[in-house]
Amino acid sequence: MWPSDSNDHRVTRRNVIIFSSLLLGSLAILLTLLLIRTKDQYYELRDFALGTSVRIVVSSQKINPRTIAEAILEDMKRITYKFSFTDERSVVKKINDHPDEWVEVDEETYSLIKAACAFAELTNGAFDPTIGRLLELWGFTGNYENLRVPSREEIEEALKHIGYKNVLFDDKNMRVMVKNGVKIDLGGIAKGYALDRTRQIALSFDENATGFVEAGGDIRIIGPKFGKYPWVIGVKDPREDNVIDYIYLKSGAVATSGDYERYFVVDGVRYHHILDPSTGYPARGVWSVTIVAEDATTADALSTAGFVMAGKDWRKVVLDFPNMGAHPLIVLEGGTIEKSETFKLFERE
Amino acid sequence: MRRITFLSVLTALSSTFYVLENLLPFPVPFGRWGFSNSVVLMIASEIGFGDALIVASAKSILGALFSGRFLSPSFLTGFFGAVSASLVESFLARFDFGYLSLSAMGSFVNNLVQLIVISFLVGSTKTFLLFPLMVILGLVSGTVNAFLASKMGGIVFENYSRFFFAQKKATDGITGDRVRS
Amino acid sequence: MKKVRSFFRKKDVVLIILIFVVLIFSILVSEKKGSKVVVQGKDFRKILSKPGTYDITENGRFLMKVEFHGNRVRVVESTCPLKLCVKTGWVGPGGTIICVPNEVIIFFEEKTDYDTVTW
Repeated sequence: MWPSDSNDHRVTRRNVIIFSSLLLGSLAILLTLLLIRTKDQYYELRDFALGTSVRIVVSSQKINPRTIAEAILEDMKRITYKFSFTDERSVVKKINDHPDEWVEVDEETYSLIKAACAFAELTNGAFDPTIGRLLELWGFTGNYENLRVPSREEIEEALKHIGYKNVLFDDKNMRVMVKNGVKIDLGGIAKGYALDRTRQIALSFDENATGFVEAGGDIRIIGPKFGKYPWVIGVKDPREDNVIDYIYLKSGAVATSGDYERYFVVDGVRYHHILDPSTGYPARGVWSVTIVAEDATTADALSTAGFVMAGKDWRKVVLDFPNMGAHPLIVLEGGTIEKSETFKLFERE
Repeated sequence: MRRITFLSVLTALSSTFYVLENLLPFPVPFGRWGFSNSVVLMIASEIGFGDALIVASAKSILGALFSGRFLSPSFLTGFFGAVSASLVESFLARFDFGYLSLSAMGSFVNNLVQLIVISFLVGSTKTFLLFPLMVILGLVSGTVNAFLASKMGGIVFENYSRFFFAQKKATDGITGDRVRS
Repeated sequence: MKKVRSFFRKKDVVLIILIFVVLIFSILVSEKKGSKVVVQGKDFRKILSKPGTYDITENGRFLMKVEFHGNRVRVVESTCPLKLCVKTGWVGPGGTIICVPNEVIIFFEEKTDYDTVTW
């Protein structure tokens, strides 16, 4: 076909064979490289902690990954008791049971409560760790055996005992005090904190450990898959059993708050556990909010805040949250999906 | 010289498709549509395996370099997919099939190979649960590619036939023949 | 001048039909090939391979009733207060059903195209 203006560029059978073999050769090399990678087997452990299901997926060349997984689980259970709203061993319960009194706490508790209040400040109260009284009122504590729709008066009354500014800190002596009968509930942040710790624990065993930990739909990456590939994470449809989006993470964390995680229905109305601290009722207008952030504590707290805020003004969430390091995907009531420009970056590998 | 020019232009065109199609969401993680293969298809059917292979590999490498994904999972799927597709397409082209089925087979093989690569990356064999979906997607992209390729082939050869076929009629007389060695 | 290859030739039907045959075949195979479901509790781990309805008990205490259809599973009945596990409905490979009060997780053994889900 080609006019014979030059002899060099002729496609001879010989050339094709040479090129094809070179190509197939490099193909083979690439494939074997890939195969060697997949020798890293991931150890998987499923259990319950933090009031939800936990799945630990970890691999390590240095230490038996099972040891790491079990250590992680241990720590998660420890945190479950320590920051529980109802458990006798809980520090949070201790603080709540001693209103208007200074309670001495350890460093871990102190910094977590402080961080929670910082997020409250950052989100103008959309996330509020002092939501305990309201949660109690609705029955979203303990065994969920007392779920009910409270009366307007009860809610008004409870609202008087909400407000992160009622938590006082004594930095010098590491003491915390709650005033005005507010009750701290760390449910919106403890999961994230526990997840961040899992990474620390894994890395303390082996700094090259990889994997991820998932707790109740919140995920913390320990390290990239096989050392270099992103983990493929599906975003669940808030109403159906399918995935509405995929994100690819080599590091960081993702958390989702949805109206389908804990709820009950009365007279055809769904009452879920993400209460708006300003109204006292479950936040409306949103089905779920997914946040990608560098750490799980941020992702967890801001997914709760984002949920409360998005129903009223999702544009604000989409525009402002990235400045706080949180990249949102919002599923509005009705099924419309909105995401920040920054979120879209995670949709590509 | 003309061959280099011709192939470079087509490679550039194909790479552009490659970069653009990255923007299109694809239901399977690490997979890609493969519209850039329409160019490869045209070459495979009109010219032959050698050139098709060159353009297929070149556009995968260039496209991946330009979109910053060199050696990433999507590069691997794109590369192996395109190369296998060009192989199948140029082979079948000798039997005088029309663009539609050539493209369909090419897309089929492309997606199958993508699945294989993905299952190596993911480290699991259960990725093949997605096979039916991939076949259907392949039929879609295949039809589009067939359409594109036939239009391109028509334009290139009808308007620029002088570019390819020697003026001197006294030459080897194999004008218009696919190059065989 | 060379004959330009056309878009569609009669021969094409052969290959197209071939592809459809493969497609149908693969769909049938993936439907039939039953997956296994794992029902994991605090003290037990039950694997369901045959379709049917199963009673899940722990130390003699009834927890929930699970219905398995080969490639989907759901919780029909449960002793937990919120019954979120029941409300989850049918779940396919890659999905999970969780009952926190009863501490039961139900999931498919196979992986899918994603590693995990955020919910």
